[in-house]
Order: sequence, then C-alpha cells, then structure tokens
Amino acid sequence: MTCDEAREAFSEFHDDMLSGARLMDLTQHLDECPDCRAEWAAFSMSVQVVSGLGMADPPPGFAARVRQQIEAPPWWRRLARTLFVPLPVKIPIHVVALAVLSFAGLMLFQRSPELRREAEVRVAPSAPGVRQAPPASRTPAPPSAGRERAAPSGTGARPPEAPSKLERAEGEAAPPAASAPPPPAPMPLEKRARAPSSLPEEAPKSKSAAPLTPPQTGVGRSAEPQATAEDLRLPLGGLAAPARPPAEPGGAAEDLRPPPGRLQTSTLPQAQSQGAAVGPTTPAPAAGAGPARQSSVPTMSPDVLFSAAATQYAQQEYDRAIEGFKTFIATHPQDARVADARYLLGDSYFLRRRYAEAIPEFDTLIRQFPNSSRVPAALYRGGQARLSLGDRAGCQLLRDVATRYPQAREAASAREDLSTRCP
Amino acid sequence: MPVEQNDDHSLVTRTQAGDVAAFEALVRRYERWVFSLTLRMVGDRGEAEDMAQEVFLKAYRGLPRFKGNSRFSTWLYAIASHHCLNHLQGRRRRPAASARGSAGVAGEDLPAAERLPDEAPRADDLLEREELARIVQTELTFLTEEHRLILILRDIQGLAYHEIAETLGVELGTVRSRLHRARAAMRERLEAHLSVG
Repeated sequence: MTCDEAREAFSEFHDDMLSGARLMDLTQHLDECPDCRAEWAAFSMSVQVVSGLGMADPPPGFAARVRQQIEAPPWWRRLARTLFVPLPVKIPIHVVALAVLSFAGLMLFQRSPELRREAEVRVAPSAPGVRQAPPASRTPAPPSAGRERAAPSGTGARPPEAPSKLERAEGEAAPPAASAPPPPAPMPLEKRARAPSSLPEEAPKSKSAAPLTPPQTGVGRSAEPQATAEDLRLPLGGLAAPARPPAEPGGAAEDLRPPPGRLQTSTLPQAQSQGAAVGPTTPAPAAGAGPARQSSVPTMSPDVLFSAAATQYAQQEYDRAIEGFKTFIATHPQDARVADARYLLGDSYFLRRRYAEAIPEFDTLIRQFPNSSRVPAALYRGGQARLSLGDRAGCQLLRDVATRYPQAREAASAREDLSTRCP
Repeated sequence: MPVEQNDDHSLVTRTQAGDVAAFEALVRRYERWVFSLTLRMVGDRGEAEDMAQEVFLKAYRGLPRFKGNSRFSTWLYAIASHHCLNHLQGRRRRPAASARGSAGVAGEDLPAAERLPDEAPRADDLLEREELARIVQTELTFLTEEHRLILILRDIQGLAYHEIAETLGVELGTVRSRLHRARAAMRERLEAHLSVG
C-alpha cells in the first residue's frame, strides 16, 4: 500500500469501516511509515476536535415560539386587524384620511390646467352641439384663466364677418347635428400617431436645413386614427368611403408633413441661443401654462417663445406646444413667424384630435395670410379636420388644395383623400 | 441518535389530524438536533434559531404530504439539510450577509490563528475550552457548504453513513468520498492550531 492509498483510507479507518486485507495493509503501512503515522495522528485528532463541538441547546422557549408561529393568523387577517381594530378609532381615522386625500385631489385638479383640459376634451366629443357652431364663431374648449389672459383682443378673437369660401362651403354642407356621429374620444398620448423616430430628438439639435416635420398623424393613413375616421363616416351611409389600404411606411408622414422650408430646424438652436442670452433661466416651455407663469411672458423674447413651442411640438408635447404658440401669437402678433405659429398651433390641436379647435386656427391663418406658403397645408388640414368631425365641407377644402395648389406637397394627398373620403 | 420511532409515528399522525400540540412535542424532541445543525452551519445563534424555526415551519406545512415511507427523523433531517444549503447559497449571493456569516462565530472576527497562543496546547486539553470550540466553528465556516454539512452530520450529529446518504439523497460511495475530502480539508485548516505529540 502506498502512502496516498493509506491516507485515502484514513476516514473509513477512523469510522471502523475497513475490514479484511485493506485493514491489514493499512495497519502494516502505518507501522512501517512514520510520516503516515504522524499524518494519521493529525487526521484523527482533527476529527476528534470537530466531534468535540457537540450538540448545542436551542434557546429556551424555542418550541413554544414555533407553535406560536404556526398558530399565528394568516397575513390577511393580521392586515385587517391592523387596519380596522379597534374599529371606533380606526374608522374615523380612515374617513378623515380619505377626506383629506379627496380634497387634495380636487384642489390639484382645479389648479392644474392640463388636467382640466384633459377632462374637458374627454367630455367635449359627447356634446352634440360642438359641431353645430360654424368654425368662425365657435369658441375653443373652455379656456383656462391663463389662456384667457394670454389672448389679447384683436388677435385671439376671430371676426365673424367676411366669411371665406371655406366657411360658406362648410355652412352649406354641414349635416344636421342630430345625425352627426360624435367625434372620436381622444386617444392616450402614447397611442397617437408618432413622428419618425429621429425627429423629436434631432429637431432641436440638428443644424441641417431639413424641414421640421410634424409627427405623423394617423388621420386618413395610419391604422388607428383611420379606424376612427371610418367610424365617423359610417353613419353617413353611402357617403362612406371604402377602407384605404395601408400606406407604405412613412407615407402618411410624407402626406401630412408641412410644406418644406417653412420652419427650419436650423432656426431652433439659433433661437435658443438668443433666448439663452435673454434669460437662460427662464422656463420657456411653460410660458403660457398658468397665471403665475404668465407674468414672466412679456419679458421673454419672441425667439425664445417660438423655439420653445416649436421644440415642444417636435417632441409631441402638443398641449404645451398649444400654450406656447398661443402665447407667442398673443404677445408678438407682428412677428414674421405668426403664420408658422398659427399653422403649428392648429396642427397641434389637430394632432391632439381637438378638431373643433384646430379648424378656426387654420381658417384664421388662411384669412390673415392668404399668400403664406402654409395655406395649402392649412387647407388640407382644415379639410381633414372637418371630415373627421363628419363635416363634408372638408371635401371642398381638399378640392381647393388639389385645384388651386396642384404643385403643393399636399395636393396628391388631397386628391387621394377626395377619391376615398369624398366620392 | 435516540429516536423513538413509535412515538414519532403517533405524533405525526396526530399532527396530520390538526393537533398542533403533537407537533410541538415533535419540535421539542428534535429541536436540539435541528438547532445544532443550523448553528454549526452558519455559526450565529440568532440566525441559527431563525433557520431552525423555518425548518420546523416547513416540516409542519409539509407534513400533510408525508406518507411515512421513511422515518420522520430522516425526513426532517433532509428538510433541515437542504434548508441550510439553500440558506447559505442565498447568503452567498448577498455579499453583506455573506461577509457577516464568514466573520466568525459569536462576534469573533479575528482569524483563529491570531487568537491562538504561540505554543498551542494539546487537543485533549483544549477540547473543554471554549476557545477551541470557537476555532473549530470558525474553521468550519471556511469549508464548502457540502463539506461542512457532511462533517456536521457525521462527526457532530452522529448520523450513520446510510442515514447521511438517505438524508442528502446521494449514494453511499459518495458519502464516503465526500466525508473523506471534508475531513482532510478540515485537518489542513486545523493543522496550524493543533500540535500532535
């Protein structure tokens, strides 16, 4: 037996598990090999020392504690006991807490214009009278205090006289309100049509001359908004157009893109840098959000206001973009970018599906700036908005785009819409 | 390991019928065994008590499925052994807890060699002394969990080879080889602390 073999057998030797020839070989080897004898002594002592640790007594009352845990009520019963026992004390506490929370929620709702607008937009489509009023006299969604203050007389109010061709056509073609289907409920923000992925990030940064492309709207193109439009057309019976096949990727964005060259992304960094010189800490995006913020509006330069609103528009923050563009138009009515702002304001409403508010903005743009390069897009969008509300006067606007601006980007889309939605 | 099998059977039957007092009697019978195992495995009395309680709670919840194919003691040892291994593996994934566990026993943070006198006394003389017990416990925690467990089951808890094989669910040959490697590893760790002469 070698030394290695002998040492491999130590454990069994210690436990008296060896027998026969193996046991005799090991004992003989240990007699002859002093190294293995010493190793065996150390091994045996080590095992002996470990065995000497012995058993340990548990703490007193261990078994009783185990029993307590077994007999403890289930978690839901403990929770109920914690919440409601003693009943005469806990119930009033819960009632008071509920009242405080409700009051806080109510106050938050009342003081938050965004929340109120969301609620109003949700309620508005179910009101049958919304579509009855002509666009020129139609009042936008119930304005918040901030919005009323932001709109000075003269720019915000639209004169009812001098109805344009659009308005006449709309008035003639408007179907009875009773037969009009309700406008679609606003979709959650994340479900709305999205811009091409690079745009929201690149628009504020890019110094290229690429036009600021509005996010793709689903109206008439993408599946989800088109389904809504189809729903709107169904009650009109034979006037309903067949479902349009899905367009190629990016096609809808192409159709709905505003005319190129109107708003260059290269203007944004410039405007922002100018704005930074005016007041780098001014919270430009929130300029028109509320009365407290309105006080700082007059001190802000038009560049800051416009670029902030345009950035919010590009980032699909349409509610804030709406406030921004309204503030810009109200505070700088003579600025050269008012036509752009008016178009983007209307488009922001449109992309938020607030068609009833979008239409007056497009109409005002067409009326105030008949020579603006934004007019074809405004006509097209105005037509789409009316059609989305079930107003066939939108067909006339699309015809105007197709006939008066045959070279415009929107002309092809208008012709296609005419064939499908205005047969 | 003196185990009264007949009493175990009746207590198990009563527990399965909903008699918590019967289970408490089983706990009293095996608490020392289970607590010793958990204490030697983790080296901390508080943690060992928690683990032992968890072992008995697991056993209580599993008793309705206990068919009596094996002895209750073996079944309980298996639950305790696997609970220890799972606990230590989970603690190894949590570095902070692992550091606490490997820090030693009963608040002894220094390595055993640093606490020993220069001239180590004979093992027979030291065995009664608490310090040697601490040293051994500390060195135990440096073994792998499998080696630690089999060493405790055999040399401290006194289980026979076949009981260990049944408890751990391994072959008898595996018990032999694993036990030998564990003892050899422990002998190397204790070499610096013991003198043979």
